[in-house]
Amino acid sequence: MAREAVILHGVQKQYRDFKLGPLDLAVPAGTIVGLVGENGAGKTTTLRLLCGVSRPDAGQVTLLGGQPTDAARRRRIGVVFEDAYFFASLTARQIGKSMAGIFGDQWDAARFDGMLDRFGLDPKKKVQAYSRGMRMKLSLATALAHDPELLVLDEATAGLDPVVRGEMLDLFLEYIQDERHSILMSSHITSDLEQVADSIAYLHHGQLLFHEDKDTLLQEYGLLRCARHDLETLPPDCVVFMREGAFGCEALVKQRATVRRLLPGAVCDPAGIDDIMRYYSGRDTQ
Amino acid sequence: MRGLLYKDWSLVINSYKYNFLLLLVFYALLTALLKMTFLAYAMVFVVGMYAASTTSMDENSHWDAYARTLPVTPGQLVAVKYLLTLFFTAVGVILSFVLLQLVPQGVSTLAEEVLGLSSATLVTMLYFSLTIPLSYRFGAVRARSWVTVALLLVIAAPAALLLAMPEQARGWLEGALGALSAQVSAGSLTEAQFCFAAAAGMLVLCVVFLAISWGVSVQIYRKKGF
Repeated sequence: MAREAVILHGVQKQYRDFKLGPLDLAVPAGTIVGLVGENGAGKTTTLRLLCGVSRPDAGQVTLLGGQPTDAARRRRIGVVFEDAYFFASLTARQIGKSMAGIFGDQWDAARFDGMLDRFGLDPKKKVQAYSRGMRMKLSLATALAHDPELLVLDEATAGLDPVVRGEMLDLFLEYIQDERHSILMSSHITSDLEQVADSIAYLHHGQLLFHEDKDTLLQEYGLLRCARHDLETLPPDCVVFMREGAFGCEALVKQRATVRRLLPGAVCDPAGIDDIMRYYSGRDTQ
Repeated sequence: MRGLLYKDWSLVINSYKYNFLLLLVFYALLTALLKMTFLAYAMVFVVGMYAASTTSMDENSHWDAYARTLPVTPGQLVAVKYLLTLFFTAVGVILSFVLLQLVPQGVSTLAEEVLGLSSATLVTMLYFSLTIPLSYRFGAVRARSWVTVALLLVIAAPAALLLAMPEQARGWLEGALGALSAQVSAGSLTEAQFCFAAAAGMLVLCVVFLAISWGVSVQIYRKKGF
């Protein structure tokens, strides 16, 4: 098995009003990578490029050791897109039969039925009669029934209630258990990623700002509140972005432990992924 | 391929089964009771175009983007539309033929019916052959306008060609048609033989339309961006 499930190298895609890349990103096998970014940052474009939906204008995409254009590689991935699936007049049973015809022997009908049962989905009901949460569960069951090595999820937990989201996150963790499987998931719900992701990749205006180990990220970054003159004593590479208010400064800082050591009197709380995104995107408006 | 066929088959059945039954009863009654045989021929077109409507369902659910992540090729994705259309058109032809037999003291001969069914098939295939590539190129809604434009061109082109022909070539064509007509009148080619020959010619044209359309559709589909 390849050490990386996905490698994007110098990938670029140009649209009329948006440019993605050049983008370098790797998804190590056996891990969950969370892809975050604002609306329009290029998350869906990135996922579509690596699944073979679109082709890059430049650069190279390696999917499970081959090209996404190769149907044999796509046979080994499972995909949940937020807005692209079967037409809603079909039933789950019809979708299952169709996928069985597409994947042949690889399709595990018992596994698919088991997941429908686990999720409480009536296979005879038309998809249009399902709630959004049920539709996402069906999409996930469809993506997992052929035991893919890589699961690609585009906002799969968006709009779901906390209970359903919890069920789905449990399923992701279950899926990743044997370390043969990998997940690349984009989400605006950063708390979900904080729970399950091994690393976080942050896309901003089509550029990858960082791809770091989640635990390191959460240990490394901090929200510092202090006076301006205190802030100026820090090494410049510690401060990512600073906002000045009537009562002092608030800054996103790196090397939290160093900052705490240098400014023992200041408040420096751990920063979440939301905070990091908020400050990084605010940096552009300086 | 089997899975793609099943998916489109299910879409058609789920969406049109009641429409089909109503159509069958309505057309059968009108054909049999009022001898409105043109409705029987229209059946070929209506049933034949069922599969084409799945392109707008695919568009609505963004299926094509999802399908690109599956282990299927653009050729297969496009081919199912053509295969199902051939199947539904064949069903339409059989039903239409049965409806024509319901007319008491039949108004047309077998040869005329074959000619009529072939014409209906040709119209269906022509319309479908234009609809699918244009749907992939412009989207299902905008494709309707483009199909109308394309049909006008298809109809106007032979007339324009005839008018643009040199006098000598036009004379030769008129001569050939006159000779064919004389052969039919003189009895060396019976009316039935003529009808069957014309039907065969139309079916060959159907194959040509479909082959060109499929080739163009695959190229468009392959280049389509999402």
